[in-house]
Amino acid sequence: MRTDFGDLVVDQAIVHVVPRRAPGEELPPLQLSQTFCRLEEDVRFELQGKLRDVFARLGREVIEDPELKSSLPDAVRAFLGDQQNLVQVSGELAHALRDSQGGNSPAGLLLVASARLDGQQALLMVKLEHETGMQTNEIVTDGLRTFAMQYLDDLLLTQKSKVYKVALFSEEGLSEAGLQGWAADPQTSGKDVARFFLEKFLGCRHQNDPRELTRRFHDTAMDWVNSLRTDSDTRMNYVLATMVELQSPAPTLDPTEFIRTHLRDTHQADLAAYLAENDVPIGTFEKNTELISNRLQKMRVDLSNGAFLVAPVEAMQDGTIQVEDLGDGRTTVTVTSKVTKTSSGAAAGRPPKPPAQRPELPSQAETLPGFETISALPKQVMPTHNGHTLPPVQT
Amino acid sequence: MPLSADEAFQRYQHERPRIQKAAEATKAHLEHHTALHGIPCEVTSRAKEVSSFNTKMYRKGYTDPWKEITDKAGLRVIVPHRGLLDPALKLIKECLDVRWVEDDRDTPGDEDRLRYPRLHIQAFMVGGQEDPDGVPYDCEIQLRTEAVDLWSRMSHKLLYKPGTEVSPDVRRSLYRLIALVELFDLEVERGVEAMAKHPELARSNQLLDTAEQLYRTFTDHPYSTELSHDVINVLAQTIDDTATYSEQLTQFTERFRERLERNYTHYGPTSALFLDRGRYLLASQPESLIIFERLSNVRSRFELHIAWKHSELPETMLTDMAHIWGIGL
Repeated sequence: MRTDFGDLVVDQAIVHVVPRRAPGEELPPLQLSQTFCRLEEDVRFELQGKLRDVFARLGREVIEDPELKSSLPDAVRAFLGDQQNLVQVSGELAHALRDSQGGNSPAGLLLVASARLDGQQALLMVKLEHETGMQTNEIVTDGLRTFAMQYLDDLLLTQKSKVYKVALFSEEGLSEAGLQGWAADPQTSGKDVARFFLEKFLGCRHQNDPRELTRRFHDTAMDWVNSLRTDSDTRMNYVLATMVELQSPAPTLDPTEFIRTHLRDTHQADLAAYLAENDVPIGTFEKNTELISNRLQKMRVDLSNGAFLVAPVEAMQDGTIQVEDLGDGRTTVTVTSKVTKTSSGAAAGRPPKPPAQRPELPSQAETLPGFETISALPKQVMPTHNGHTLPPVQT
Repeated sequence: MPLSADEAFQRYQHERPRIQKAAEATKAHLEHHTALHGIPCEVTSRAKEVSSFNTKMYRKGYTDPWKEITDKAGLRVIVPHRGLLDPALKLIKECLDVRWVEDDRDTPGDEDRLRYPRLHIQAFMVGGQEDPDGVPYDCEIQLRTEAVDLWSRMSHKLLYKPGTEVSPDVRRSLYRLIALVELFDLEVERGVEAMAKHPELARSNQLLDTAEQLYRTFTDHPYSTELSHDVINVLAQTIDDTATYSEQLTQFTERFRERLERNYTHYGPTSALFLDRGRYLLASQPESLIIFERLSNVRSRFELHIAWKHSELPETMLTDMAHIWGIGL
């Protein structure tokens, strides 16, 4: 999984205006540019730096999906195979973009650039939208020095700008399985918007299933927490933070942001490295909890004396259940609630079996005595009682 | 059969481009190895000018000028203080095929004389250039401290004026300066030893020395030492073992040399973005190499981000470097 785009070099670029398509009206005509942009070196390298950043932070591997019937993959292949030049291919892409975007898409510019990635020929496309800003110029009026302020509505790629859709295809991605490349769409706020750029225009889908990425993030984060040599409060907080993050309504998950928001400084690099070692992206990806939804409702804490606790996440958050690290390797877990039922529950108290082929992590032997593991609980071992009920104690 | 002066002159004229190439290759070779071993130094090289070759032949009256002029290719390795002369000499012996060494630093019986502390190494050059007999060209390597280099360049200018005989009192006064050079070198060495007793300061200095030496293989543009010290103090917090880091940084530089060259061209001290727009400030600083190295690995990238967050350095400085390196911060 490429996360480094430092070998991306922009050579030439051409820009076309893509007008807004009003709902119910005919497709607006395109006035295509006839030759390359004049790119001074400073502009070219600034553009190059911004695009390296966008792909590194947000770029996701995509692969052509023939069922989506977009003309883009063939156009890209024609360019990479030297059958079309940049002016020709960019014109085709401008038409494809105009045809694919709906009435909600604002007018904008399509920048298409010939580039190199690791020295291989590549084609890069960016959908840009004008931004606004102010400019000041020092002037003298009536003999007095002052500033004239001007409103600008045609700015592009400002330093704080993060609103553009990009895609990149290089010769490396010309395979029999279909065209492969990278795409990023920071504006994605819902699935429909994402579909317009990724599916209708690019004719691609994400190479890694978001459901699988989300599951890997969850499992890897849980493994890491349980291998951590730190106090039980911190470990508990990290598990809770992971579960809350996964359950949040945000359509995307940014592991880097998660780490920086929820982890202590001393643990941040460690989790980031652990995620990377386990092929979990540390850049943003589309979140889909379908494969782990049954593990996000309740969490389970196993103690070294055989006792364990199963509780809804809310009970951990609202203080009904409190965990206190005693500093000597032991932990006090306090549950404040009403007892609704007690029973002999030896079978229910059996800890869940580990997956058959999962290797034992060396770090598992290093977990704190008195506080063995914390995990999100799979549905199949979830006890039947509800709410803030004391779980059965294993004897 | 020795060549006559005329024959030697013709041969030198013919072979000088190859000698020049070999000298440049040997310079790069020495720069690489000194950087790898953390020996801060400046290496320069030259092939003798054809006119100087001619003049020397006639001035010295050699019987076999081709063989007797041993500095047809000359290299200088200049180290900051005396304590680095022996490590540098040892390294040169290890990485080149050395023919002989002239070491006049501690000649017995010379205690009462003031003289140039010659430390010259005659060695075969690398790079595959050979003379018509299939023998690699050799060179004279002058190994000196910065103070000795200053003295010898100055005294060479004054003592070797063609057609002028320098008076004995001027000669004496120039040689008397050797005593000051010796004192200067001793004091610098003492200072370096004292600094080593302050590990944090020594660590930062060592990191900057390593980075600067490698950075100089890309550009010799001046930089802000004040900014370097501010940044290097932050970077040092993310590096555990300075001694092994020197090798790590050298390996990183060699692995990514092509990319680094391109990045310094696009964003470094001679780029339009820096010169006209004042952008990407750190790409014109030697510590940029350490930043790129730290950014290239997920763990060190996060450690760097945390150290940076707790410093007073603007975050945009780091994000700009991440843009250049093409990673998300």
